[in-house]
Formats: sequence, C-alpha cells, structure tokens
Amino acid sequence: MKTRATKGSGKSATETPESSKSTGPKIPLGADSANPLQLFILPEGISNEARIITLQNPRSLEESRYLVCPEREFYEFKAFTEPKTTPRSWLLSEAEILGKYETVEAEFVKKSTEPTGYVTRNATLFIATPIDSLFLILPALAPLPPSKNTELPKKLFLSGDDYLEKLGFTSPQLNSFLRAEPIRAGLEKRIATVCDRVEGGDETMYRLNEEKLLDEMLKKAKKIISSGLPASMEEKLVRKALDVPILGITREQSLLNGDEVDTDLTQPGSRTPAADTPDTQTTSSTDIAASSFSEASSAATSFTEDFMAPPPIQNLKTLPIINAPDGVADLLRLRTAFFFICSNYIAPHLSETLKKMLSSSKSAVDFSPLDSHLAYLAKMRQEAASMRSIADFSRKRSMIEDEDSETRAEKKRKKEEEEKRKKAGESQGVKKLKKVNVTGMKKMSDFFKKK
Amino acid sequence: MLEARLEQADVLKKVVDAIKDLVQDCNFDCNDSGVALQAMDNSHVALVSMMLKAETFSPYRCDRNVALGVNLTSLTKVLRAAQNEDILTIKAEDAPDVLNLVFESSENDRLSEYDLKLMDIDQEHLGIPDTEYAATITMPSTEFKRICMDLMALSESVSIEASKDGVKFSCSGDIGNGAVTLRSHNNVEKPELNVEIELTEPVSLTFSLKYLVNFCKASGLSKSVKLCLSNEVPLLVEYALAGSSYLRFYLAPKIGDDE
Repeated sequence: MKTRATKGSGKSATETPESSKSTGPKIPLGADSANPLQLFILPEGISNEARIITLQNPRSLEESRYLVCPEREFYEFKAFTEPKTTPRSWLLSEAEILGKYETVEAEFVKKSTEPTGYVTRNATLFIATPIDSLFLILPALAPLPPSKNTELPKKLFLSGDDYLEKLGFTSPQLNSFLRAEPIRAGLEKRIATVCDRVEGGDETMYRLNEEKLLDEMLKKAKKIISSGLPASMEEKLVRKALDVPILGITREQSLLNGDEVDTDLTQPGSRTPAADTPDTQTTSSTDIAASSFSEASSAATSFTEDFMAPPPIQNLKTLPIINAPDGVADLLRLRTAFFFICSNYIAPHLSETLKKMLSSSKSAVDFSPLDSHLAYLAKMRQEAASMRSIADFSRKRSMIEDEDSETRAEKKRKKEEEEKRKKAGESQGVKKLKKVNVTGMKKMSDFFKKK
Repeated sequence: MLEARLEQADVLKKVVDAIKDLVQDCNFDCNDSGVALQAMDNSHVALVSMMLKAETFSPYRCDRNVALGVNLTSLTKVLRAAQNEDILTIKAEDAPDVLNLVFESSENDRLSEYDLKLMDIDQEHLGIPDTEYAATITMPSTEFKRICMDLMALSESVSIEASKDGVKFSCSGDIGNGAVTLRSHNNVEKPELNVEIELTEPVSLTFSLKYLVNFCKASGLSKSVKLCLSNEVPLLVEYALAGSSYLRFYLAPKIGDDE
C-alpha cells in the first residue's frame, strides 16, 4: 500500500517533499476522481473559438478527437505515454506557488498544507500537432464502396459545398466550424489540389483524381525524408532492410559489388548477422514502428510552409554507411515515409489503390532499383540463414522459428501434459526399472527379428 | 465380437500384476487361438510374452482379430475389484473403444461390471524363434524367487553357471559375495519341489538381478519355473499356466565385466 501513496491520484499526495516531511505520510488519500485530469500541449496563439471536437478518423473511420481552430487549421493529438516499466505521473500545481516559493516561504507552507495540486495517474501527455485537412476530407472525397464486391460507385463531379456537407454528415460536430470562412476556404483549397476541376456555371465542381492524390502524398513523403526519417524508423525500416548479411568469406568474395567486400571487411561490426535481422517487410511493419513517431507524422501532416521545428536529424556521420547502390536507400526512405502516411492517415481502400499505383510502372517515382535490390538481399539472407543453420549450432533459434514461438510454447505445453498423463499410468515397478543399469545389455531387437 | 469367460479371475489378476511392473501400456492381441501379449520394457532389454490359449477360457469366442490397447495400471485398478474366485468375463466389440469386464460371484449372486477405456498403442512385434537351449533348469518358483531376493541384497547382477554338477547363482558386491548352488533333485512326495537340469553344454551368463526379481512377481502363477540359457542369447524364464498357456520373460545377458 505504501507505493500507492506516491502513485495514486489522491489530493494529499500532491504535497511537495518539504511539506510531507513536516506533516508525515498520514494524510488520507482522496478518492480517485471519476474524470481525471489530462495534460495537453496546445499550439500557441490559437483563438478562443478553438475547440476539441470529435471527427471521423480518416484511417480507421472511427471517431477521434481533434483540435479545431476556426482561424487556422486542424490539429490532431499525439499521445506520449511513459513506458510501462517505469511508471510516472505529472505533478500539477498552481503556478503561483512555485513562483513565490523562494520569496514568500511562509505563505507557501500555509498554502501547501491545503490540497491545491494534482497528481495524474499516468504521465500521458497529449500534443496537438497540425494535420493536413486534406486527410480529413478524404473520406468524403473517396467514400467506401457499399460492399466489397461491388465496383466503386461512378465518381461524380460535386461542388465543394457538397463534399463539406458530406463531411459534416460523418462528423456532425464540425458543422459549426464549417461556417467559419478560413476553415471552409482552407478545406476547399485542399480539395482542389487533389481533384479534377470543372467549372459549372458559377460553381466549381470537383472529382477526386487518384494520380493527383498520389503526387500530393509523394510530395509529403519527400518532405519527410528531406529532413531525415526519425532515427528509429531509419534504423528499423531502412538500415535493417538494406543490411547485407554476413556470409562466409568465400561467399563474400563472390559478391557482385567489389566495394561491398571492402566495407564488409573493414567494418565487421557494422551489420548484424542475418539471423538477427528480421526480414523487414516495409509494408507490414510500418504501422508498428511508425506509431511511436510523431516527428514523422507532424512532418507528414503539416502542409503549411511555416513548419516549426524540423525533427532532430540524426548524426549520419556516426552511423556506418549503408551498403547499397546509389539512390536505393533514398528510394526506400521515400517508400517508408509514403507507407507511413498511408497506414496512418488514409483509409485502407484508398491506400491500397495508392500503393498499387505507386508500384505500377506509370508512377512518378521508379522503385524498380529498390525492388531488385531488396529481392537480391532477400536471396542473400535466405542463403545466409541456410548456411547458418548448418554451420552454427550455438544459435538454436532461427528467425523463422521466432515467429511461431507461440505455437511452439503451446506444443510444449501439450507435450508436458501428455508426459504427465503418461507418468500417472506408470507403475512403481516400471519407474524402478528405469533406474536399472543396463550397460552391457543388448536390445531385444538385436536377438529377435521384427516380424 | 470377443467374449471370453475365465472360471477364476485370479489367473488374469496375477498375469497382469506380474507384467504391469515391466511394461506400462500394451496390446492384448485376441484371435481365435486365444489372447496373446508381447511387450518390452522401456529399455528394450527385457521382453514379456504371454499366451492364454482359448482352452483356458470356457467359453471363448473371438470372431475377428482385435488388439486391446490397455494401460496395465488402469487394468490393475479394475481387476482389484474382482475376488480371486469370481468368474471373469471379458467382452469387446470388433472395433472396440472399451473393454468390458464382468465379475460374477457364484457365492452370493453378485455381479459387477466395468468398462475400461482402450487406447491405440503402436507396438512392434518381434519374432521369437524356437531355440534349442544349452541348459534348461526347472525349479520351484519360490526357490528362484528366494535366490534372486537373497542375492539382490549383495549385488545388482547375478551370474548363472550351469554345469553337470548343478547350477550356481553367484554374485559379488561391495559388502562381499555370495553363491547358491542347486543340484538335480527328485522329490517323490512333492514333485513340485523337483529341480531338473538338462544340459547339452556348460553355460555361464550374467543378468541384472532387478529384472529377475521383477519376473519373480509371476511366482504365484505357477509352482515351478523354467530357466533356459544359451550363450549369447537372452535368458528365458517361463511360468507354465494351465493348459498350454504360458507367461514367458526374456532378458538380455550382460556382456563385458562392468561389475
């Protein structure tokens, strides 16, 4: 129970160390509040009209909370959570107390005996980061097909107002903001960038053009990689994917690229052995790795030019050089960033189309060098893995087995159970005979032939 | 459909008791000539072979060959419910899931019935050829049991030497050594105490006493036991049952001097 006193959200726990010394830990804890406080960091200078409202999430199509400022733009919330292994909490206290602490000590002591602060249960911090309103309008521009089998409905040209109305239908709380001119204009402008336009009388009609959307997303992806991918994304999705597995010396000499041999020999620690490198399928793992990176997301979502602070660029000089033909690493970064955007902000049906378009030969960026290099690496890894499994007995787990460790655990459990049952049906005599020294005794099958 | 009625339940009780300490699960193979069983211990150095001929039962009916896979510990539990004098009937379908056992007490018209779940056991059968043994010793089963128990106190293994003078069981262990010698002996009044030695050539072999003691659990089945030895082949310990039924144990000799 002692630990609770420091962690719990009771009001008395908010005393600063000084006061708790004088009063002792005996102050009873207040009850958990039903509606605990949460900590947000909101952008500077948003108007008083800004509200946190519920909108449809463009990826999951579920409801999520967004911050909308009528004079500026949309913000999404990114949650930062402390790792489970090191529980933390925020101590919230009135600013004046801390400010006056040194000068008006007496007053502070008096005040601090009354519960004025608040300790949050966990250290989750929500940061509002700008999101491109294009993402929010996308579900309206490209609605889900009614059912999986039917074709997409024939795309019609609709006016900007119609799209906004649709958006208001799925996210009713937005309606009051749609009246604000800056928001409305901003949304229409974003619609215009990805749509074919037709002037119909005094109204402009729009229809989603996937190619334009792809271009727009590629622009965003390029922007992400221009300031460098976040360090761990770079490490997990780019560096590992391009890792050249270490093969036997004979194998290395037969490598296609002579330069690679040199770096292999001079920087033996630069790469991990093949078995350590899970075959990173960029498509599948983007979701996992990406979810923890807000730098990338903010870069992806801020379309305004005045993007505040660029994400911390990793010091590339300290990292070993990636061993890949020219441009391949950049292509992979671009694709990683693109998939990241797709997996976070674009509904699955639309992102499928975009990915298909991207891989098709018609796309603006040619990924074929990357694909061929990745295929080549996969082949090398397979070879290295098969060589390892023969040559190396110290590593009993191969990377393939790692994946189905769960099924293996289940098998083990079943085996144990069976053994238990077997033991139960074993008589005393059988158990004793197991201990008998049978050295020098031949098996019965040595004397009698099998029938 | 298998149906076999045994006048005295204790035959099966004792057979199962004797085997259950050697093997855990085994198949009772039933065909029209009777119920047979062959199984090896976990280390595969000993083998038990049982044959209960159809004549042992009255009546005996077996339409189709069936293998009854049984856990012997479980079978013992069920057989414990039978009195030695009860009439025992075993029944099974042609493709059975269970073995049905009925115990009838003629004294008090008590009838008890049990179903034992069967299991699938993968077992390989070894072909045991008829062997002309160099030495065949017949002796009271209690005598053989006593020798094994006595020598077991000294050592883990016993050497059996058969010569024209008699048969000598000897062992040596940490605390000392010991030997028991039996000579051919004819007791006219009590023929079951006879010791007969048939010999074509002298034999000397060493065996694990723990296994022999284990075989001796079958002593209750028969008054006399037959030991058959030849160099380089397993020892045969045979307990003859009524009719020409038998319970046989085979044990591989110890080769090399690791005592």
